[in-house]
Parts: sequence; structure tokens; C-alpha cells
Amino acid sequence: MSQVFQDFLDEVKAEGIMLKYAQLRQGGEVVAEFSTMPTKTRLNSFSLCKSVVGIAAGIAIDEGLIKLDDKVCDIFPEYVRNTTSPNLLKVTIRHLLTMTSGLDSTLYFCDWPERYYVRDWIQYFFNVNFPHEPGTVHVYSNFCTYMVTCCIERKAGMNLVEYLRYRLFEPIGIGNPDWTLCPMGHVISANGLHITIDEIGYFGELVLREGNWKGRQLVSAEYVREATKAQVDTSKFIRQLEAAGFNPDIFKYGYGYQFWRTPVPNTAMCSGNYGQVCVIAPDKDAVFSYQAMAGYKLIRLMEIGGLALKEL
Amino acid sequence: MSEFYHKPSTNIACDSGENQFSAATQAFLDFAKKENVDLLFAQLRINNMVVDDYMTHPLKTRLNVFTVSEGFVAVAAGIAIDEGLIKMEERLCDSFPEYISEQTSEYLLAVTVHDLLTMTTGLAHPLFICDDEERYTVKDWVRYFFEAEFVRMPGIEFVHSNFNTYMLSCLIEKKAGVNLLEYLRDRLFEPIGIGNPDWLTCPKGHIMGANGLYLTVEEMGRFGQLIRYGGELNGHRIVSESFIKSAITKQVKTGVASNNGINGGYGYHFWISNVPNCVMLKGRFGQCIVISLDKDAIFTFQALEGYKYQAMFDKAVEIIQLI
Repeated sequence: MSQVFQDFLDEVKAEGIMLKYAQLRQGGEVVAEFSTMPTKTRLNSFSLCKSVVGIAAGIAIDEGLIKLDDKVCDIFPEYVRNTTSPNLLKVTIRHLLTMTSGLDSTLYFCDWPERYYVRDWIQYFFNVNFPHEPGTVHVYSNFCTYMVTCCIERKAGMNLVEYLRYRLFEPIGIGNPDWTLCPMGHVISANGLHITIDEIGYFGELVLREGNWKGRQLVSAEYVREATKAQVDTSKFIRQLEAAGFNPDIFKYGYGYQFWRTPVPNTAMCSGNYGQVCVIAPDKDAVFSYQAMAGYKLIRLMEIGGLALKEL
Repeated sequence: MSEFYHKPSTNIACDSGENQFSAATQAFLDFAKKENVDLLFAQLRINNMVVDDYMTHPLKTRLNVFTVSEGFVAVAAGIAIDEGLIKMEERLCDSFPEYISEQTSEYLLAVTVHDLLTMTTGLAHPLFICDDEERYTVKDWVRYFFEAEFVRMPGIEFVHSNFNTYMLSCLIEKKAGVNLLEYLRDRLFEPIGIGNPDWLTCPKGHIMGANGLYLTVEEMGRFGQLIRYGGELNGHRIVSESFIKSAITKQVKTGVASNNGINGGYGYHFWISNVPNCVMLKGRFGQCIVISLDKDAIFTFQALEGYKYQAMFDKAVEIIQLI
């Protein structure tokens, strides 16, 4: 297995990809590591942290704060108008988690212009068009993750970092967590969680152990199993991306509750822009993570990572 | 010097081989390539225009600027002084009586806003910074500062500490009744084109101050331009000119024995270079804003370089003289 790790590093280096850290855990321990830095510094995990929101939803469900079938409009009635899309009225937490809200477009992502001037992101979500019946079409959007967070925050009466501080982060060794906020003070959630490679590994390990951290069940095992299995088909959405010149084969294998499935049976993946990846492989008792700033070579990095995964 | 900046702003990948950068930027890129440093973005502005844009990513993304954010806290202090919220000679301890006890050092009791700005609080050590173990375990950072070791009267010796910046930020927050991000949102960030700013908070909810501000290379450039124009940008007077002038004038010797172009002293959270009228902000792993007052040039870059980033600061000061 360490040979696969070394091959991955060699391939990445040959391509001139700016990989910052990589780590392989097996049997609950770090078995191989790579770093280009004197310290493990926290970097933006981009969309990798969507999976953290996925787990947060599980914790909130365990605590009875929310249910999978709760409607987002019931939690935010003040945003509902006569003109609210009928499909939006039907959107549940489950739809948000599986990215099947009925949206037809992704809306804006982290480096897009709107991200720098739209103030009320909830209002923005409530104003857009939902042409599809919720639950039928997978369209990956930061807003689905963000709205899950807003629902949890409203029910919990605190922001998501505070909600997770002692329920998730501190118990697994992510001390004083850093997550940026939207202009209205909600945790950005679809990105903006800044973590080290070790901390990504801890989170992967928690998922690998189905929510059990050294004997303490932080989130129910049944929820983690549901979250990390393919709940929806992603192939149609990915074909749309292909038309735009983006061909991420690795994203064609389905989506759970804010987790991707991968081409390798029984593996789940958290994945963020520019090369932030955590693969959870229960059959190998392994967690494989890396952080990069891959720029224009992102697709190539994902290919190399995907190949390594097959050989783990 | 005009021959160096006739090229309009372009967004070109590092490896396209087609880009035409000005001589100054090209010299920096050549250096980065030769030294094999992990440079991500670089930008040169002249006369408030972007003339060179070097990108290794398809979009400019916000990255941690580490202690470059000190400069933003300094400007915040200038704004707060302009508004009468704080005064240069006021004592920090007067605003934090709940942290004062019989054990509080007499040196600490004497620390003023000016001492915080010039990093002369009398601290024995810099205390923890972003990747240190305590940064992940200590919950009350204000208390940590108040319990730290102070070994000399303030105003004398320069000891660079993130905590001086953090405490200055906490003081402004206390006086303003909002956190520093909210205080600066419409006073600084939005007017100079930094929309929906991102700045991390400590476990108690105070802005980190000396770390955790996320900016694009372009946003760094706009801030540099604000400083170059003495606190006014595109018709917005953000902070008084006299404050900026003092901030970028040597206030204290750093005593930092280095060859990296920054041992010309320290102003209010700005490093003064050895080159005349050239000041800089710099952060870990290669985050930098270099401001040449004479040439009206701002060179900014962002990197994730683990080991050779001091040499990058050196080089930035060197190449700006080519303009």
C-alpha cells in the first residue's frame, strides 16, 4: 500500500502539480506521509468540508433538532412568498443533502463574482428558480450545503462552528476550529473550513469507524452508512459538466449525503476545489487524504488520485 | 519607466509561455522558477492600474495572508483614532479591567496603543503564532496575553508578536461594540473593493487580527494602493493621511539582523525596507505587499512556500526598483 502512495507522489511530481500534503492512514494510524512545508498549516478545504456538514446533519438528526423530511420552507417561513417556487416549497433536508433540490443550475461558487457582493445568501436561494421536482435531478450546488447549515443553526440557536465545537471538532482532535462566515454570519459551510492534513485524516477516520471515535459514538452508525452510500445518480449532471470541458470521471459514481462515491466499490470521498481530497476505504481500513493547489492541473490530479485509489 | 507597463492586465497561466510581463515582474518570475518556490499569484500595479497578473489558477482565490493582515489592523486603529474611539497614548489595561489583578505586570499596565502598533509592549517572547500547538488549545487569548511575561518598560524594544495586533483589534472591538470585520466592512473593505470579507475569529469570537484574513492577490493590491495614496482610494477617504504617513515611517528599530530588505525599521505594523520610500507587509509562506511610494507601484504575491519565502521578500523589494 505504501508503494501505491509513493507511486502517487511520483506521478504528481512528474506532472509538476503543486501538492502540499498527502497522508495515508491504515488501521487507525498514519502509515505514510508527504509534506512540502515545515509545519502542517491549516488550508482552505474548499468543498471537502461539505462532508463535515453532512455529518453535522446526522448529529442534528440524532439530537432531534431536524429530520430528513423536514421542509426547508417550514424552517424559514419568513422567506416564503406568494411567488415562491412550488418546487421549493417541497424541498427537504434530504433533498439538500443529496443535491436534488430541484435547482437547474449550480448558482455561484466560491470564487465567482456574486460571492463578493450578494449579502443575504438565504434570500438569494429563495429567489432563484426551481424547475425540477425535488429528489429527481442531482445538481451540485454550494447553496444546498449552505441551507442545511442554516437549518441546523436556526434549530440549534448557534452557528455551525459552535454547534460542532464540542460535538465533533474537539472530540476528534480539531481544536479551535476555523470556518469563515457569510456576510449575515452563517457558516459558509460549502467551503471555508480551514484544516490541516492531520485533521482531515481524523475526520476520515471518524467516517471510516461509522461515527465511533475511540469508543464514543459522535453520530449514529446507521446515518454514516446512509450518508456514504450512493443515494442519487450523478452521471447526468457530470455529463453536463463534460459539455463544459470538465471531465471528472471520478464524480460519476453517485452521491450520498454530501459524500461522493468513487469507482472503487465501497469507498466514499470528500472532495474540494484545487485538490482537497479525503477517500475513506473501509475494505482496506484506510483513509487517503491530500491537499494541493493544483490550478489548471486539477483534473490530472484527480485522475492520478483516482488511479491510486483503485490500487490501494 | 513607462516602457515597463504598457502591457494591459492579463490573466495568463504560468506555463502558457505566451505571456509578456514587465521587466520587474518577469525578474521575479524568473527568480521563482529558478528557486523552484511554490508561487501561486503575483500582481503588479502602477498608477492604480493592474499591469501584470500572474496566475497559476483559473480564478483568483482568497488565501490566508497570514501577518499581512497586521496592516489592516493598523488602518483600523487609524480609523478608530479618527473617529475618537481610541487614542494613541491610551493604556490598553484601562479597557480591560476585568483581566487586571495584583499580579499584573507594571510593564503591562503601562502599555499604550502606540506600543501595540510599534511592537514594543515589553513582551519577553512573541507568544504563539498560527501553527503552534497552543493555537489549537488555548481558548481565551486575551487572558493568555494578560498572563504572559513582560520584562521591560514598553516603548523601548521591538519584539514582533501576533498578540500585540490581536490585542489592538480586541481594544477596537470593545470600543466599537462590534467585531473588527464588522467595524471595517463599510469603513474599509467595501469602499476599496473587498466585498464580503473573510476573517477568522479566535475561540471567543474576536477577530484573529494577525492571521486568518483571506484575500485575493488583487485585493491585496487595492489595499497597497490605499496606503500609497495616503489613506484615500478612488475618491474614498478611508483614514487620515497623517496616520498613514506615521504608519509607514520608521518608528522603531527592529533589530532584526537579516538581509531580506526589511531591516529599515518598523512603523505602525508596516515594515520599512532599506530602499528609500519602499514599505511592505509580509506573511508566512510568502504573502507580500510591497509599496514603492516613489514609483507609485504595488507588487503583491501569494505563495505556499515552506522554506524559501524570506528570499522572495528580498527579491520583491529588489525587483520593484526595476520599474
